[in-house]
Amino acid sequence: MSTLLTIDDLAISYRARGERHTAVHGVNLELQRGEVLALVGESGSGKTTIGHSIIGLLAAGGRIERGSIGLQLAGGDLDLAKLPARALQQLRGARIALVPQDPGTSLNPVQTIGASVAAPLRIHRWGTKEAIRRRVLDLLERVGLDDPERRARQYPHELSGGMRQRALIAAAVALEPDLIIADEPTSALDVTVQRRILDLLDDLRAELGSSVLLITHDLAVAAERSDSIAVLRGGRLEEVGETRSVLLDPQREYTATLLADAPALTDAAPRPERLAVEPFVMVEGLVHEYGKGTDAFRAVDEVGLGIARGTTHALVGESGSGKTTIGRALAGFHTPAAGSIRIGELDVLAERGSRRLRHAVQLVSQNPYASLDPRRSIGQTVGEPLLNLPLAHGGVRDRRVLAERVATALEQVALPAEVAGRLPRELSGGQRQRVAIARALIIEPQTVVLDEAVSALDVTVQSQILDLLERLQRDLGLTYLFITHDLAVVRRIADSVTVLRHGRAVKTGTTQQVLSSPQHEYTRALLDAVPSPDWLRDARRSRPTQHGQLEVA
Amino acid sequence: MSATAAVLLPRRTERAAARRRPALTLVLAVAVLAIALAWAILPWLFTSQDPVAGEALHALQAPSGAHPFGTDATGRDLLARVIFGAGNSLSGAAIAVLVGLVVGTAIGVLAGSTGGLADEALMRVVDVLLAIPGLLLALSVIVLLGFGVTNAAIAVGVTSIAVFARLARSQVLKVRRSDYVEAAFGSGGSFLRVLWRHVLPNSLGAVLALAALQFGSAILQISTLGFLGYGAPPPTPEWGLLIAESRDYVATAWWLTTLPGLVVAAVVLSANRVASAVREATA
Repeated sequence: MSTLLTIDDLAISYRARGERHTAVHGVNLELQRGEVLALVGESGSGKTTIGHSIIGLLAAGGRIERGSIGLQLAGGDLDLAKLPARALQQLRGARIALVPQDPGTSLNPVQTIGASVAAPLRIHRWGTKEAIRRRVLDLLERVGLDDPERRARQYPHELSGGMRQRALIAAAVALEPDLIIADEPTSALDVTVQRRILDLLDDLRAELGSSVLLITHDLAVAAERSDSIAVLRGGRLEEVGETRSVLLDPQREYTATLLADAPALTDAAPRPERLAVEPFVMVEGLVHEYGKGTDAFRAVDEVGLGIARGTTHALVGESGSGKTTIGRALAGFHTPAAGSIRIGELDVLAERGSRRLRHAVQLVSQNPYASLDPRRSIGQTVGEPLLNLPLAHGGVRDRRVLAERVATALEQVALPAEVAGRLPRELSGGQRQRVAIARALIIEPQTVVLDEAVSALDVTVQSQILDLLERLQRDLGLTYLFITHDLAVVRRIADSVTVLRHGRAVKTGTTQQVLSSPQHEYTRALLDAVPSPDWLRDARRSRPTQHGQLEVA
Repeated sequence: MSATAAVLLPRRTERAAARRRPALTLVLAVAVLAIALAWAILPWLFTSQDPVAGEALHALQAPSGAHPFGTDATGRDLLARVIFGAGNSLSGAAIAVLVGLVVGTAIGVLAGSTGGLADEALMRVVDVLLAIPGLLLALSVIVLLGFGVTNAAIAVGVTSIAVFARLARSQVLKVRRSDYVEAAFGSGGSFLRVLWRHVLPNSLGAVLALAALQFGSAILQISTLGFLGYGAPPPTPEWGLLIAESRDYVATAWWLTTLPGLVVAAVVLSANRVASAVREATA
């Protein structure tokens, strides 16, 4: 086996606000021909920076400080770190290709799919116009797009996310590159689509004999798809080696932490089943439509569910399944076309916008970066609900009392009191999400709707937030509606589950019932798609298999 | 706990410390505006000459030590006229911007935050305003109000209402859709409270930048109206009028049009530079 890529003592810095910050501190990596090397790490670990430095596309202000990036080609060895821009341009697309992260924004919206896939062929003068046309159709067929002739004529907005990613892969492999850099190629896709895209990348790699540098934050994806793995943290290499040996016997504590926090890889003991005597939250016959008349699109179609007091109910489904719509209806943000929602004795739909509804339910939304007003301090944000309440109903006007209540609320979500004086941009994503939770809890609601509340966070932070949510539920007796696309998270936190597809509930029941013996074909497909290799799961199963262990294969 | 109240507010000192040193061009622009402002407020500190009464003996003298900007056809010191003219021109520009900013922003915020029928109606009015050429609109307003410095300023302000309204509306619409505004409503904020606490602070940055930009162009427009004879009556010193009065002497006395023109250009450029700094700071 020969080596294709040798990265030696690579250091990269960025200029920000007039100062240089080192993003990568002397990293050594090696990638063999025909193999997959996974670069894993949390946001800010430098994995994407390394990937971009290889193709010479560092963001503005980025500079390779020292070290070499050796590419061993048939024609001779090259050091990509020292290659002039023109020479790198010759290599890009031809010998090294990039599969970008977000298929939604990576295709030129005014170019047809065919033109986008043909771009590398045209740039590198691969052949005549006619030859390129035929090659594009072959490629589109090869990446599994039906009716290539029609697809080539379509524009990006006419294709789904998964199809766009296939088109981007077609463009990447058009010239049969030696190295494919796949930067979070499936992070923006649903799990079932993710699995098919990763399969396709695997097939193409085997067929072309290319090597793949797989950049991912998802340890489970890396475990399932890579030959070797490099764990990065803060721009430094924590651990590197053959995937199995690294993950089965991590030498570094950080790797072990990442493994323990990855929800897909842990066999969390199922939560003790709590007897649901009577549902506290009741949703019945919920229907919601977008648009009017014949164009109306039924986002939610006759969905019903019940949640017992103090338990967590998960709403699972892929994008467009209607889960967010249901959550927002429960939180009183929009009125459904039909159906009823009750929280305890309260009729949510009749109480829309009322103070009683606010005490009954609060919403924590997905994006902790967008949910906090950038101009207001954390203290102002957390204290705001108390200012909004009338004095007779727990409202606070006195500044000192308000500051104390804010400090208590921050303490509840394990944030230091001095955070109150900071602005959102001075906080990390995990801290911001804690602030959003504190804001929701300060008026002591009975129910909290958590809309993908941990999806934007790194696994370790995600795990901390899930712990926090469980503790708060125990301490305050909260009832959660937990909206997520991640079945692994469901297994960890939910007592009961509703699986949604195209606005319909295909399955509802306790987490054990739904996940351990999936009856419905769709539930099974969702479970199958969760990346989690057997060898790793078996090895991590320290206890003997107990009854009710989840069968995720 | 004496520091509790302070804890709720952002620590301004640290934020200020994090800010970078301002660019040289910005310092220069602020200096130019400061001088112009000083001229407007305390003109007699900068010149001992009379801006209105002249000595016919010294008519049409080229710039010299005694008269740095030269003198005009009736022997008045041009620098004195420019300095005393700053008051009329800058206060006119300020009135114009204030009219546009207040009325335009009010229309835009109202349209953007209420939506529906009110939005439709207000924005169609704005469309009508936009459809009429600015100068024509300004002249029509002056004819309605009567001639004079203040009326010319108001007329210029009216022409900028549409731009302010559209910008304010688009900013409000953007902020209204954000998660934090939804969260504020979800925690029980009333419409006006959310508007005041979240929507306005986050949407008015761009509007303020436009105001600074509009200040420069208002000076130009007021000068244009003065030049056409719709502004201040002679012999009031006003920048547009100064240039207008001197246009017969372009061939023989270049300083009469060029030097006041350069002053106007410098102030307008400075206002634009400050506007772009405001936009960056609030982005």
